[in-house]
Amino acid sequence: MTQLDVLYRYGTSPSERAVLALSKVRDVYGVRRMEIDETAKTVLVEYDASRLNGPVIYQLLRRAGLDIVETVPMIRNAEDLEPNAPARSSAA
Amino acid sequence: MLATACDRGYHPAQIGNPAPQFTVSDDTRTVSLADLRGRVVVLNFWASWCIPCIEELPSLEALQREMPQVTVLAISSDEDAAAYRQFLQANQVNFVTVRDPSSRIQRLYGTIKMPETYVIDQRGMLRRKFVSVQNWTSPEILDYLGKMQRSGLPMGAAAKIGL
Repeated sequence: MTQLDVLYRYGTSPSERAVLALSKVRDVYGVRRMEIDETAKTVLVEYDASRLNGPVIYQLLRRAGLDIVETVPMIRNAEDLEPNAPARSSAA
Repeated sequence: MLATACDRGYHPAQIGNPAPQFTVSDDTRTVSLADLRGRVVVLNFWASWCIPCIEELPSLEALQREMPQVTVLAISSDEDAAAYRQFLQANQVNFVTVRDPSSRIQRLYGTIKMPETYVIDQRGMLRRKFVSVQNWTSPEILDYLGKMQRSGLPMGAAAKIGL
């Protein structure tokens, strides 16, 4: 099983009906976890890549009524890709 | 993304036991599982908003075409009646589908994720549970259903067709 994460930013906050529909997305085989961040207006979906793919996740969210405006890159800095880059402190 | 694996993990105790009986009605039809006794039933749980479920429908349609002696019965958990009707109008499915917005039958079978499909034999026994999307016309599944179909025929009928 290969776990993948995808992060979307949404525009209009989901209606109550959309929130209910979004909760049902978890009932689809392969959707492992879904987190909505109302402050950042993002939704994070963790899915099993052997069952689902990015376009399917996108369609599931759109059909639920989520106003997706963009996919947010999960890797923000080039140094994140460097295996030997010095670890950055996560402390505030 | 099609898989042919069988997962009995969630409710292994169900397999080999009588399938939970139900009668379901929507605004177009009423279906009772008891009325299908004597036929192999492929019971599929789906919803029109569930993209993987929709991806699986053509395969179920192909199965129904290839094995008309098997009954494909799909139970939709769509709460939105209009969306369900619109989907069926846009996609002419050739098997029986009934809407159960309360998900009562899903719960009866212990199904919490979709798509999920059960195979019920002619005696009404649960024989197998398939999780996620399947290729219903794979040689393995057709062979499996064909053998079940033949083995369940009454003696006289089996003899007539040389089994």
